[in-house]
Amino acid sequence: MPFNGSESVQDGQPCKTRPERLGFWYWEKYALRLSVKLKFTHRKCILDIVYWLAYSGPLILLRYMALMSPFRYRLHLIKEAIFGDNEIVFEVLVHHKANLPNNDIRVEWKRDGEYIVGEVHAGGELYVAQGRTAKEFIETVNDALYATYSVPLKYAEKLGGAFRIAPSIEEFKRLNDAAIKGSNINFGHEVVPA
Amino acid sequence: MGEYADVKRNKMLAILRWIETLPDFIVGNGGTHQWIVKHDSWVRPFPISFRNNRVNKLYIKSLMKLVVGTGLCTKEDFDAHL
Repeated sequence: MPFNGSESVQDGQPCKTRPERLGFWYWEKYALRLSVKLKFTHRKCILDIVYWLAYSGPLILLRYMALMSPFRYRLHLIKEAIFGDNEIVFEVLVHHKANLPNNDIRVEWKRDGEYIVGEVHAGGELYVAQGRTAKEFIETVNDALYATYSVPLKYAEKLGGAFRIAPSIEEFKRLNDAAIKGSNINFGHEVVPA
Repeated sequence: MGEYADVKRNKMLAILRWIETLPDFIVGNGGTHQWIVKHDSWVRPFPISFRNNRVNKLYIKSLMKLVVGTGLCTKEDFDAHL
């Protein structure tokens, strides 16, 4: 029962002072009545903390992981693909297309263990690319060019994606042939024009 | 090219963290599987693929040449962080 001002008068006892009413023992009877509920609440609180640690722990770890972590970058790309703005501005697309090198790309590749490794000469600069297979190697060459020329992924897809520049069929066969230890490729033609 | 060997991706990340501490260097991500190392004096940034677990020694050698070419560290400093 909550405190009623007329209680003390009816019982004939002196009126309780404010500090008494706020004391722990005064409220104990109410607490005891609610003990089952309180226990349930406590249990729920503990579970809440456990769930919070389980779910937010990895997020906190991610927050303090290195900025350049591959895992974090992949998560960022997935987030961008789902929630990001996919609007393509035509002028920006034309700008990126004009910036990217098209006809002056030369690759000197060789086999190094299980990898195909190549030096990419494009636009007067030297880059490196590697891949386990011929397809992966060409994808890496294209990816490196997009990264170097700061082309966002949504524009890269419109500009031809991972196979914007690709070797001829003969050169692709040579890349796939494990017996050939190295060669040069001229990535001279665009496969998919923007 | 015999002086360098292939390094694991995590080791490469450690090297890039050190390069990022050098003045005028920016290290970030680009493309789908690339780290990008930028410097004010370079025309274009240098991409490093993290698609595979191992980064080839050719990447290390090219990066070393570029970083030492800026004059901000010596080859010995670079090798000490490998």
